[in-house]
Amino acid sequence: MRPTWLLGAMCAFAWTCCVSSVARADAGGAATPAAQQSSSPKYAIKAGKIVTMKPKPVAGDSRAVEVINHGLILVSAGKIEAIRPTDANVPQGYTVIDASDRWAMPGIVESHTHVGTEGGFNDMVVSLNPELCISDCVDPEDIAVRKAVTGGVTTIHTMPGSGTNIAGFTVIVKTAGATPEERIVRKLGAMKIANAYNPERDGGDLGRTRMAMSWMVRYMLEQAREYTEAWRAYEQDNSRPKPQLKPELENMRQAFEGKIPTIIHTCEGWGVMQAIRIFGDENKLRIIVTHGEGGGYTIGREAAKRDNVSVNVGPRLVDHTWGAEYDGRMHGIVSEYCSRGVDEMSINTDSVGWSSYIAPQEELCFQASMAARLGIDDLTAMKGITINSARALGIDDRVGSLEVGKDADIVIKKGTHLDVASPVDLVLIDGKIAYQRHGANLVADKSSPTRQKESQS
Amino acid sequence: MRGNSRKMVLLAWVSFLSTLAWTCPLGRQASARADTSGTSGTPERVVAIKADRIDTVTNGVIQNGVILIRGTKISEIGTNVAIPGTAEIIDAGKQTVFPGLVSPVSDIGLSSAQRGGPASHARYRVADVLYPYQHEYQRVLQAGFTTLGLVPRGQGVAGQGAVIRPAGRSREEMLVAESGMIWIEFRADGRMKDVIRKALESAKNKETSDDPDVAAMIRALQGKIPTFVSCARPADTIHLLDLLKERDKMKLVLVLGIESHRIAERLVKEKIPVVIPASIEFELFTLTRINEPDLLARAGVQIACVPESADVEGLEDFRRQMAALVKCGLDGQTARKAMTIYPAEALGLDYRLGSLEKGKDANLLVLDGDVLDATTTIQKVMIEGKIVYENPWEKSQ
Amino acid sequence: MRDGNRTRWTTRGTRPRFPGPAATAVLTALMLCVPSILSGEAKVTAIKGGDIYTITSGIVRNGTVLVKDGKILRIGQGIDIPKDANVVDVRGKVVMPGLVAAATMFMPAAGSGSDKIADSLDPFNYSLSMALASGVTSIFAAGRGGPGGGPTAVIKPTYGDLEHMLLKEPAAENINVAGYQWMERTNFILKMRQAKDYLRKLAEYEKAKAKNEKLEAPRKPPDIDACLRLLRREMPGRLRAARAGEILKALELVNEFPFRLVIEGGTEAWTVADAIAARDVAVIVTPRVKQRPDEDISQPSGSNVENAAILKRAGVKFAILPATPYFSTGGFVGRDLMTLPMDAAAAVSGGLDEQTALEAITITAARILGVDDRVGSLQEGKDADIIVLGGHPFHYDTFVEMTFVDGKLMYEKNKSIYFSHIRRYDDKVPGLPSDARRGDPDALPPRELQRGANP
Repeated sequence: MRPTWLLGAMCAFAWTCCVSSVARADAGGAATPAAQQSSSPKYAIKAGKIVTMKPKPVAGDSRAVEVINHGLILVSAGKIEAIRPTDANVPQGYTVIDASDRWAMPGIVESHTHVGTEGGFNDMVVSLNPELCISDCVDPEDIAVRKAVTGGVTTIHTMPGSGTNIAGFTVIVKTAGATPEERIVRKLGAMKIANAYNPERDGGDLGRTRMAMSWMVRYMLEQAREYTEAWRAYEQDNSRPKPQLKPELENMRQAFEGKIPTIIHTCEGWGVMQAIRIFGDENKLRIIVTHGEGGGYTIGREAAKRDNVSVNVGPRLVDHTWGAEYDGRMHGIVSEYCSRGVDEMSINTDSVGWSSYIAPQEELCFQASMAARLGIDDLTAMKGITINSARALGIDDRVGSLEVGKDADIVIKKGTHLDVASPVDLVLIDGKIAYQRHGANLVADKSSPTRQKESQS
Repeated sequence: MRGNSRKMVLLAWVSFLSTLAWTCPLGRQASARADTSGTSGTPERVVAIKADRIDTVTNGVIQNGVILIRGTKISEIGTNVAIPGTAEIIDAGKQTVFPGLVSPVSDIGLSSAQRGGPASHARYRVADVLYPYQHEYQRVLQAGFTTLGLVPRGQGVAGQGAVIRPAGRSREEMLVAESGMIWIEFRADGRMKDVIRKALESAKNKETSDDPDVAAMIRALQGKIPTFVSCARPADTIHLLDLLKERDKMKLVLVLGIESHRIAERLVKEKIPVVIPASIEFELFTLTRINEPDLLARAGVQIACVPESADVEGLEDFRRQMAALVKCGLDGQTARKAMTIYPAEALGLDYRLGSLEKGKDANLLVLDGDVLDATTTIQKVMIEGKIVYENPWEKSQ
Repeated sequence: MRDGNRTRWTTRGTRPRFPGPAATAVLTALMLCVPSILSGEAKVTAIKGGDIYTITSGIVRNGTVLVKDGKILRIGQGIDIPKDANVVDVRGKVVMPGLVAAATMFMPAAGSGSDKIADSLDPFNYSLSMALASGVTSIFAAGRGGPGGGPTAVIKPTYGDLEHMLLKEPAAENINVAGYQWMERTNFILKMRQAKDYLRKLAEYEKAKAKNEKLEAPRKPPDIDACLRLLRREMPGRLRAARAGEILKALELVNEFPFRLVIEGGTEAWTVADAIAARDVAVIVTPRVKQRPDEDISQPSGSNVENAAILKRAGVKFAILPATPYFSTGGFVGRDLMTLPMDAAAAVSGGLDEQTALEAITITAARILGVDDRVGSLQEGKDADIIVLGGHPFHYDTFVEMTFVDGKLMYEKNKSIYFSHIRRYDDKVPGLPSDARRGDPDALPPRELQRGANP
């Protein structure tokens, strides 16, 4: 498909990354070790209301989550040590955080963004770039990432794309932490695909039609599938010939082995269906269909039917002038998917840079508020930026809900994530205070846990 | 002296009469054709058309009727019409006779619009730049149009349009009205309003003027010729009507477009006839279709239809477009009137055009079916008593 | 004109957009039928039973607003309602003045600097129907500015009705001098000095004329009419300034020429709040604007969500606008004028008190536009531009349910195509109690203003 000289050049370049890639490849699917235990303080958070996002079916309604009034969260070694439903005694050595007139909620998980990607996130010389990993150049000190914490966003899935069909591989990082390595939740977040639209802006020298894009992607997937098969066969039986290591396919192997999802930027009914068909049905990958605007919800039932398909909506939240039904209505996209049976939906900002016009990273909660406004219930909206995002990314063993053993990523404010008029007061990431709004003064001294009067700023 | 002056008078009479003979070309030609002996005589031509269906448009459909034409006019029409022996008989058999179509607004055969911002030059006349030797006019005729309003394009007061019959070899043969209407293209903004205001002010309370611009505006203000104003949006129409609040005797005709039904109430209240394209549009951002002419008609507006596009192809497709409007709800009779009598009224020429009535011009079509049926073909076109087109093709079925 | 292969009769121009089939049918029916059940001109309309946020005189709970002839007749609890009044039941809802957008709604038809917006108003523009659906009943509009600034006006979204659309024209002088454009700034200053000088001479002449009638009036320099209006404080001057330096340079102008300045943007106003407060300068801010701090300087800089709160503490008057100061249909939600209260809510999250935040999208904005005698609060005698909300304006769930302009009901959510299909899911999902919005009395301090639920 590609000119040989280019392939040669890419191989040479990729080889230099290969060593580190290989070193990480086998850990690509698993979570990297969490924050160091050595310097973690211990906290006891007194919260007026704890919305855990942990499922707790009530009266047969499986959507319900556990909510604890007047609870205590114990944090140590970067994890949630305990959640006690009563005003139990605060153990020795724990600094009290008095949030008894506030809510405690899981840190917000962003499922689709482009912040912190200095050096460019669209390499658009060729259409397929499976060897590129944004983890190699993510800049966690970017202003957008720092500001994200003030909005309660604690984990972000940042990515290249969508200028080309296979943009590369994404990374999942925490928005604060001592060292960049500590902050990486998973070096290979997902395989990033765009099956149409942006790549049609002449992203490559080949394949400007959608037919060609589909073909190229299929071709690449087939190669990766065969490569994965060959390695699996070899690993089961060493007497078989050892397959040649191909750096550009090593990453894709993670997706085919089910260790990481594939996230596909697409819109409109045909695009969503194609994504489901090629990636989900034919290649049996775990996929996240992202954006899905412009009438994509008409395919909602197909997504709902399949366990390996998850839907991620944003930045657009309404179909009006671009849609499928053209009836003059403002169709809330998340609501339309939900009403067609899609559950566990996640919401994104698709943020780029830090600007007034594109939803900035810290406003992911506001995206959820607007999705709720357009016709979904508050709980679904909140799940869409916490546990559902985490589950879609396969990191719900660590984040997305407040449960014992999970990372202590906690947001404290008055009211829910969705309340626009109340600010985030305190954010813990991996058990450390990453942000406290000035004037909040919730963290007390060990000796006298008196709550200071909050200043009205 | 006396003898000389008598000779002068005689000379004057002779020259007058011969000039008269020369300047009645239609009569000459008609007689030349009808008279198979080839003599260019002046006796009045009599033609009788018999047909199964005569759709008068204004007085219903006459079954098995006769239209008697003397000279250029319809002299009698009905079922019991005595046909004189000298009459040439056209037996249309099972076919339908319909009035010739009238398209009130068109710019076929004219050079393109004036460029530049809004200006007022009412003195410019289409009649002065009419170029008859164009194939398009023949096609217009074959499409069934016996009357065509031609307008000068341009922003502001663009000039005076003309009304022509699309047949004839000279300007004189074609012109029905040299100064058919004042044509204005209006858009709501300060500059345009200033231009219009000035044009109106210049002609107010005057009877005559040496300035040809002003003279034309005077005639418009006094209602001697209609004033056609084209407005793209309902907003423009509202601004225009406010501007023309004291328009007195002006005969205003509005040429409108999509969404004009939003102001239908005002149009009905002020009794303003409307010229509207025969098209079905989509409502923006939706797949809902709007039949604008139908919406206006139902509100009580008198509509004259023009084709979707103002070129020859549009005119050739016009009957199909009208049929589509009817399929989408427009009343059939209203559609027929919108192609004939209402445009004639808009042009102020309904006293002689637009329907088959005694005393009106014998402008008519002979069709092998209903005028609104797309499979119908026009078999003959007659203008002022003379057949100007006969369909050479025979239908296979 | 030839458009491709087809010659069109009327120029396509800007196609007005409008609500949709249901609303079209409603509008058409209204036009076809005998006028107008909505007129309310002869009759009194009573908007009854809601919590009335007057903005300037507190909240009247479970109160009634009486409307007659397009004006507010009376407001109160338990007031007498005439027998034949048209009663609109708004129990459980919030009643507020229509919102005021100090935004620049660009009027494309207005051409050169001398054009008036009144001459080109389009009452069928789709933005008007979106304004009604968003509860925005007064909007600042500006035409394309020439060197001297373009025409300005305040308009009402009286869809279909040209007569009542213009509220005020002109509404401001556009001063097109950003801090760094020295030529424009120099020209402006020179003209203002000429105008100031002329006024001084004029005043002297007036005084001296009494004694010496033969004195000649001073010659008026050309092109200073806009400057005179500014100096006489007949019109405020609007000027864009975002960075602290730009703001300070704008304030310098006020030092020399005592005109009423309105700063648009004011991103870094929080860093120079005291300087702004010291002069009679109003600011139009966007709480959620994002501007990176200047890394090269040591003072605070960049955007700050606490901007509005800091300005309030310093005593500066301000109005609030979103980053996208018009009505957008691009698919993004919450960033434009359709959700104006959300930007005020963002200012609250930055520490601004709710009352001032509400004022910033009602009465203070009206004051900045010079139309506060007519709109911006619910007071007797003011225009009956009233909106009925399904809950507290700062709640993300709250939609405008009804919009009255000049006493006429011009929008109803459940009859309009835009949002009538949006239903709130039954929020009795176990696990997240419905008191999520009303506040758990156990866990949270009592709230001053309640957040209600949509039906």
